[in-house]
Amino acid sequence: MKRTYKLLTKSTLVYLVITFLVFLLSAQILQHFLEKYIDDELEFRFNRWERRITHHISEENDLQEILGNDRIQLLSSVPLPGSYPVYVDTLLHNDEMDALEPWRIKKIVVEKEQHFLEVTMKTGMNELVFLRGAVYNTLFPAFILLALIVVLSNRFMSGYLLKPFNKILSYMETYSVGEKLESVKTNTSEFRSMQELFHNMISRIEEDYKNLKEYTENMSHELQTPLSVLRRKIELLLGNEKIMDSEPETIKTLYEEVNHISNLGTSLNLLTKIENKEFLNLQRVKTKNVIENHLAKINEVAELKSLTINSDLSDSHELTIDPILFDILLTNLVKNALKYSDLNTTITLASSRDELVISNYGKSLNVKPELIFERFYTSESSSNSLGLGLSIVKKICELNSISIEYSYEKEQHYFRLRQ
Amino acid sequence: MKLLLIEDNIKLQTELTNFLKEEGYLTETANDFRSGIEKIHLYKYDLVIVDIGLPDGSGFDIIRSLKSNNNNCGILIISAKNAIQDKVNGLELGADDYITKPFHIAEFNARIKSILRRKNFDGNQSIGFQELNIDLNSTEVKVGKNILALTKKEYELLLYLLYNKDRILTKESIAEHLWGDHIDSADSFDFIYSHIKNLRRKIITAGGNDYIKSVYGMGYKLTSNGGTAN
Repeated sequence: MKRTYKLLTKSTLVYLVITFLVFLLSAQILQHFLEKYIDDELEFRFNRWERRITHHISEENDLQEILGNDRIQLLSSVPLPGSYPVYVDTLLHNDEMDALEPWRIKKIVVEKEQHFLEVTMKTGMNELVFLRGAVYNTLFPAFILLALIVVLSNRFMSGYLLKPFNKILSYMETYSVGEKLESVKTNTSEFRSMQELFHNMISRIEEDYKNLKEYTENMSHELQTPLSVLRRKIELLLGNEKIMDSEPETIKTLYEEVNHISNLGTSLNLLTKIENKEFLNLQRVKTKNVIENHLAKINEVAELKSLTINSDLSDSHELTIDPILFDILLTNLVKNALKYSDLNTTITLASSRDELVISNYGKSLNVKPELIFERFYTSESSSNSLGLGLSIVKKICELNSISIEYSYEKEQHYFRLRQ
Repeated sequence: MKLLLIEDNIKLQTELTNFLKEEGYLTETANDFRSGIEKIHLYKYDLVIVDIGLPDGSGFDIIRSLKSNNNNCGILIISAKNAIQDKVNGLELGADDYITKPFHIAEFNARIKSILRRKNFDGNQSIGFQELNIDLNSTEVKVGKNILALTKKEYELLLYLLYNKDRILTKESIAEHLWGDHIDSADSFDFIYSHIKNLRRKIITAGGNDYIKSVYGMGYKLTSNGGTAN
């Protein structure tokens, strides 16, 4: 994925670039006016002198007298039209200050008695040139100061301005179906409409979810009574030898399928109840005792399959969970291990301070491991099972923030639980 | 023995009533909460079988009412909800047992017999079948005069068969009775077979006859008509 940037960083950057361009432009304009001002000022001075010199030249009769002034020279030829006046900016040495100073020189041509006289005027512009740098010298520090203020204030203000946004985000993050979503008060219109949109979306999802849930609930619940009747009827048929002698397979299939539907209903019902968070009697469950009690109950089942159950349980392993749910979790995991164990192998239950591991020997899965927690997934070798056991396990883990990991190492299936 | 069945589903009610009458119980029925409450106040029953989810009230309130009247009758809850919390609540209120729909009729029968025995309405603490006899207090099983040494599961299985003599116990029903939710019933059929095999062997070794008959590969039946080897 491409790198992402914060909105404020982006907007700050754009803002700064634009501001910079505006500053640059205004600096250019200011500089332009300044140059014009300098030119005007110098021109004003030159004009004054020009008038005086022109006057002096027209008053003076003796040409030699005029030429005695070192600023006035006699041109040897007629100057080309447009070649005057000539402006030259130069640096001249100021003896008093012992420094070079900028001067402007203006050369003009004055005509007197068929002679063309070139008059050179010069004026110091030290004090004016100073102004030139002033534009950039003021504007650039101003820009940098502005940029600094913008960046800093954005940094500090972002927390404040984006507080409602971040709050909305955090509510969105922790939201799960069935919960009430808190609203954040804000007068920022974008945040408000985002929140409204989100709330509308949630209520639609809630509505759908509710319908689906009711459907599952009703299905699994309402099925039980008719199934009871159905099962009873089949049980009556079982007692009828005439029918059993003629249609044993039919009755058998009927009976098995009724049982299957009934189990399905019971499991789906349980799954719905877990999803509805009906088990909230949270306690710190010391797992060692519970597991040992459970193992005592199923030991016989294991023996019949020639399985050994090893337990290496730690006193300090605890889970925060409704004890009923832990019981269901354990029952399903152990049932799963019993079911998929190879004959004459060992099932191991081990716990440490913060981990519970159940492992058993068995053939590797022929599908992706992620699928085993999916509803109605069953491996081909046992089509009898419902495929809901591990979904129930997964659901219980999710609701109690227990992480469950499946792995297959050295011919063993591992389920690792951590809270 | 007088029983009251409070169940709102008429079909199920009829089925259960028929069964209970066949078993020889004097059975009365109530379709809803109101008539249920009325009957328990008017008459005395040995056992009240109550559905928790009634249309006009909760079965829990019927249990409360029974208990507040110092009624010593047995209480069996039936519920369509497999809510463990319901079970806990019911038993805390003083119900004797809890059974979830849909149940096997054999299981229903065994629960009723077990409650009635515990309540000692029978006065009879042993149960017998031909030369088999179980003393329910000491859990001692005899074949004639020979004492049988049975494992806990074998004992439970035999008792279940005795409670339901002459009735087919399906493998599913046996699995649920013996192991509850700890094992998928389909996986347990081999285990049931080996338990039955051991039970037969022990009874025969002790000099008894084989009364456990295998039925169409679906289950077993305790009957005096003689068993077939399977």
